[in-house]
Amino acid sequence: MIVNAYAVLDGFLSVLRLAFGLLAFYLVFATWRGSRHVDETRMRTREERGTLQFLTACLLVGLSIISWPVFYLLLQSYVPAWDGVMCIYGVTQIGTDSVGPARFLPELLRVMQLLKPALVFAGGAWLVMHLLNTGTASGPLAGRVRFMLLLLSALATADAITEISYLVIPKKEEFVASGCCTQAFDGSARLSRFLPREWVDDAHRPALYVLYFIMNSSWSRRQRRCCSSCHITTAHTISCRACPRA
Amino acid sequence: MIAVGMFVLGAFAVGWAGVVSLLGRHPETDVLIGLYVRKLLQVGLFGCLGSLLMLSLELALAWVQQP
Repeated sequence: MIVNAYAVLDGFLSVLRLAFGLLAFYLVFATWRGSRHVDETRMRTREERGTLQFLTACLLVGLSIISWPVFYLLLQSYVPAWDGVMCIYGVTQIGTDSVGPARFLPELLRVMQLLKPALVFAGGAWLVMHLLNTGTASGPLAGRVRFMLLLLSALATADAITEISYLVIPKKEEFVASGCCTQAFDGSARLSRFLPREWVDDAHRPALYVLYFIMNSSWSRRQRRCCSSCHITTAHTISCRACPRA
Repeated sequence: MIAVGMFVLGAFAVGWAGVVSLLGRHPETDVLIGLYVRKLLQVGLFGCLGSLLMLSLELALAWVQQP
């Protein structure tokens, strides 16, 4: 975790977004549940809840708009943390091919870069629909406005969780010493070290398949012949040298 | 930064106009929808043209200042 002023600001905004996203989610759900009752007390509570819901949603939209540039300022502030990194794109590549927890960083950044514009768009769409609904006498679009707020709060919560995860994960890359294939074919104790690389590249794959099947079929035929002479079934893995009559 | 913000505003305003015209349909809102869509499309035009103008100006200034 790299702690600087932007990381602290971004973390604070993320926590606020998470809290207000969950609050908006709860308020929408509570309003939807209370809309079935026609009791006077419950109607008053619903009205008050509606005001709180509107204020929470406005705050959520404001936080979402602010968090977008702050996120890129945070990435810009991370640039001097690594030697080979020169711009924000370099920061987005940190963690690629890593085996530690840092391997999740590029994916988290990709998700955040999609969620942030979606969040701002959903916030604006909710605001426009709310204004349209308040311009009418009976508020016929209340259900759709509530659905849009539900979508907005879900997106805000997801974005906040992703951003907090990105901030918390250590930005330390860990790589394996060598690839597993390199280890398997280049080991000094293996016979495959004598095999020239030019013979086993992708272009020679059909020839290698043919060679594989010819060698295996000839080996199994030899097994069968050997075992038919001594009347031993071929289902077992006995070799001709182990066969008593070979 | 302002040019990018205006571009985003312009692009999103067109999308919001689409959302209003699709999801805001109701007999009670028929009068309002046209007004809202028109205003949002005006905002979209302002944002796109504003960002285009600002970026063109910045590019022209960069061209003039190059050694």
